[in-house]
Amino acid sequence: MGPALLAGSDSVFEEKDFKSMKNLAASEKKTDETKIGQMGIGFNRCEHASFLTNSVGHGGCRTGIFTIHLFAFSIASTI
Amino acid sequence: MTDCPSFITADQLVIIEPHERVFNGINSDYIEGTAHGDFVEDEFGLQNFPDQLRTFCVLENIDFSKPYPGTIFRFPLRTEDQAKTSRLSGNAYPADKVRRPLGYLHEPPKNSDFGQLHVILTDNSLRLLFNLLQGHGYARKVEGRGSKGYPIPQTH
Repeated sequence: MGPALLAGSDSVFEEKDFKSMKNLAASEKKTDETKIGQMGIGFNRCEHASFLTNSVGHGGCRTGIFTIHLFAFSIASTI
Repeated sequence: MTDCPSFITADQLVIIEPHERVFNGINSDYIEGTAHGDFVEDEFGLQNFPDQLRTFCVLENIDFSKPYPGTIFRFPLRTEDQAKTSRLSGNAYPADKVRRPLGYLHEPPKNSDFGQLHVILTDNSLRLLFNLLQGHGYARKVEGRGSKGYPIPQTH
């Protein structure tokens, strides 16, 4: 088991969240390998997953955050 | 940061794995490149991906015979080797690269480029808890509480 970032919250997914999840892996950018999220799990698609999303630039690094209800976050997603 | 995010929520395990290094199309009817199932009733994960499921137990011992009362995301950091073949990104993410921005959360928002991060987290969170695990022990724990305002980070 290698290094990993874990993030948790005390809320659970609802059915609508799972439905929105389908958009994550069904990006229309899939055929363009130069685009972020061409594999369907890019940061931009998070916005369509009913999560609160935002990004903070820091040097060449982009930090992505998505929260569900209370909190859950990811750090250091990049381009 | 990762090629294979996964999470558990209630009784569900979801592994988003477009490269299909871990699995080979199992449950891809849900989302292509994603494994998804009920780990309580169907023992999904325990049977198919026991190692993947156990990785969620690093912060607490989880009883997978009943639904988990929350959500845990896991982002395994992209290694140098994975970055060479990744179709998502060629950037590897050693632990230090991720640890650094987490460290900014210690700082007051006004002194940090991550001030917006503070606001976003604390405006929507009642309690934030950060654990940095090295090996098998806790190296540092930082806790902050927010309620529509800035957190008050505390180092233990």
